[in-house]
Amino acid sequence: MNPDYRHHQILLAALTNPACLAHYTNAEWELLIRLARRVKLLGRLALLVKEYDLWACAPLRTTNQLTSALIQATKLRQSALWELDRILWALEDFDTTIVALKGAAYALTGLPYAEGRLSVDLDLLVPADDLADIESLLKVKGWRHRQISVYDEHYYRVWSHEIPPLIHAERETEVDIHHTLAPLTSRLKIDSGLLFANAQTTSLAKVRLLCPIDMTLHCALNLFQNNELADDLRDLLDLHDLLLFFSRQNNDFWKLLIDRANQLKLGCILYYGLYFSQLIFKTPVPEGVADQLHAKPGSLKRRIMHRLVPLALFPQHPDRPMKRAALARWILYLRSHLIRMPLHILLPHLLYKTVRAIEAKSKAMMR
Amino acid sequence: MRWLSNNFRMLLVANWNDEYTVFQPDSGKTHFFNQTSMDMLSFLSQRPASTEEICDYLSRQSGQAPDKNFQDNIEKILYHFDALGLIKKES
Amino acid sequence: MTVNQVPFQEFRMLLQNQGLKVAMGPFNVRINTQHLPLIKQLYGLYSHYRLVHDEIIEFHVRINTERSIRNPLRLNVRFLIDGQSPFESFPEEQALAVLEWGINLAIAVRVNHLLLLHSAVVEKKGATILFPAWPGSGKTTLCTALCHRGFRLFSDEFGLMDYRRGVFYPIPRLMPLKNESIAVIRKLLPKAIIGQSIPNTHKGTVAHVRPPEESMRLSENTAKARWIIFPKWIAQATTQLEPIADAEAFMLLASNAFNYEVLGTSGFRAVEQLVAQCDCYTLTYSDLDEVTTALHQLTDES
Repeated sequence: MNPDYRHHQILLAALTNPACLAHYTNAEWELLIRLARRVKLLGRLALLVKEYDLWACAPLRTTNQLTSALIQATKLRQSALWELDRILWALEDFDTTIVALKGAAYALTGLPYAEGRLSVDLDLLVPADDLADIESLLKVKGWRHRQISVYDEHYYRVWSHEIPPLIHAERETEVDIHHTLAPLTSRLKIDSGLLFANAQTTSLAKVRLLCPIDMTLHCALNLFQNNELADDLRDLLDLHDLLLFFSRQNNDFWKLLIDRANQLKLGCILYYGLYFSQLIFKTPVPEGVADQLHAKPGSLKRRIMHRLVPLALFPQHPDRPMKRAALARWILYLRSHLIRMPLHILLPHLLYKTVRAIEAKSKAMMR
Repeated sequence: MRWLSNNFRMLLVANWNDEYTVFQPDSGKTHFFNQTSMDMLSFLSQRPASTEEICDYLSRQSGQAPDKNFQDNIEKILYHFDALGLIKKES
Repeated sequence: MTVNQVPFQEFRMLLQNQGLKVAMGPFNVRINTQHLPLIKQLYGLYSHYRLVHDEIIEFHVRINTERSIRNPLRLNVRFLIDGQSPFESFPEEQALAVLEWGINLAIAVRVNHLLLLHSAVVEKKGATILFPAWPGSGKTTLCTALCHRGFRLFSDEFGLMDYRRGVFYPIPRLMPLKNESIAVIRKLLPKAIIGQSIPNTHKGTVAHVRPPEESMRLSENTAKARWIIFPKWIAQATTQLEPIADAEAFMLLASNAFNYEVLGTSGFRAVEQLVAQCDCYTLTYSDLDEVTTALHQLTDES
């Protein structure tokens, strides 16, 4: 194996074949912990080490770090669910539906390993028509927007699919309220009405979850449309988990998933999701499934993405970063912006972000 | 409208000579209570009660006159406890 | 083997190449840097740190130098942990302060298998005193004085409590004196080893005190807490120890911890146990001799 990629293997083997951890040396454990931490998978690793009964044979300095990560994951999940509870309290007298997304949704669905997932924010989707009322009700009850610049305010309000994050004065969890799932500037127009129509009820009144196929598509959408892919291995593992979990519950899952992707015009996104989940985590996707997608990336794009995406998803070696991977990440960073915004918005936006980064650096220096 | 306590059984309580530190697992927050606050919560854990019934009970407990000032204070505590999720409205 | 048993050239090679691996209390830290002034400072101040071989390292940190964007003639230093930079760069003279501060931050953010109180801790006769931080406490100055006068240094920053076993781990490290306290300590403890003053940090002028050798040598000996003392330095005040209500001590201790809330139930139970087993006081003081005597009295009486 190419020694440049040996650290990928140390991480991947631990995630996909945890039994092999029994033979890890101290040096491999040490590197594994650093890599898993970088891609937010330390909590997941802790659960795997427990599940495979390897806790006793792992070095103490390692299990201490795994314990720490698991405690943090538990706390973050408890905080997110409490924040949701308080939001429901604040909206007691307001008739609406709230769809929990991402981490909170995985916790409420009972997705395996959800208790090890580190998710910092609470992400919610609300009907666009209720958004203004919900925002002002929450502000009356003690939530505030962080101080943000006029530019950022404009960015959120005009171009983004979410409002500026809200945070309660006495708590720490940031609440991201979405009114649709893709930025308004992107070419993807997702009809939120369709998502609400199929959303599923939960034990909490007012709270819904996206139906399994929509939850899966949203995960792929975030990864290949909204994120920049750098160190996002955790999100691809989420997708793998969702595909595995839901396909075992419903024999028609794959057909429904493809039909919905076609209906919502998310063919390319799902194509990449299935492709990389199979490539990296060996997800058992039935043969020919992807062929039924109406839209697929062209073969050149596929070849480029095949080269770039793993270099971005896997963490860099913390002591020996590769130039090649840094380049791949930079290209994918530009790509993520290009598909989210038309050029006339994108170029000033990137310029603004660069200038602001330099300003922040100089300010820090002046202190 | 009547109030009742919210998950009172789950609270972890440390008693320090009639002052209390209380851990609320749902929120992950730790609260400091004096005797009146503690009496109010345990009263509401037994049965739902209106604001008037709560004032009545607490004034008897503490020997304080249930005047306007007293009622205002109780209402403030109720409002605060509601926001913290320690009590809720009876549905 | 400790750092002072290694020749300077070898010490420098370690920092510049594979990394200097040292034990800091229950943690192992690997430090890399090319910055020669920092290497020299570390050689003087880390003398009694134990070198670590073939053990897992929890914290891999690095101080890199880079050109300042604003003034390209100046060098800045940047703290990296696992190759990532958690905060901005600082002028090169601040390298040592940045390194120590970065390690503190890393411990505070990552460690949850222990309760991390924000507190100075010293030990005598197998029992510890906690001095939780609160504004104006002067805990580092007080701690420096005490650990040169009959108390063993656990930490000037972290109360590391193993909440399953109810014991504290020592983590003796450099103690950063601030502003006026630098001169006070130089005068009070002429034999203390103190690094050069670093002006204009975000906390003013800082100078680091090397922990006493004895405290470093015993840094694997844990102890239980016996006293919790909330100190407050007030100019001209006479030394005064006043008992404080348990519930108040509980709330002060919990709100001065790094990860109390993260630990949930375990955090609550740990602080409950601490407050129940300790005598809790507030302490006002201005004179370090006087307060040292008072604390010796307190610990001898028990």
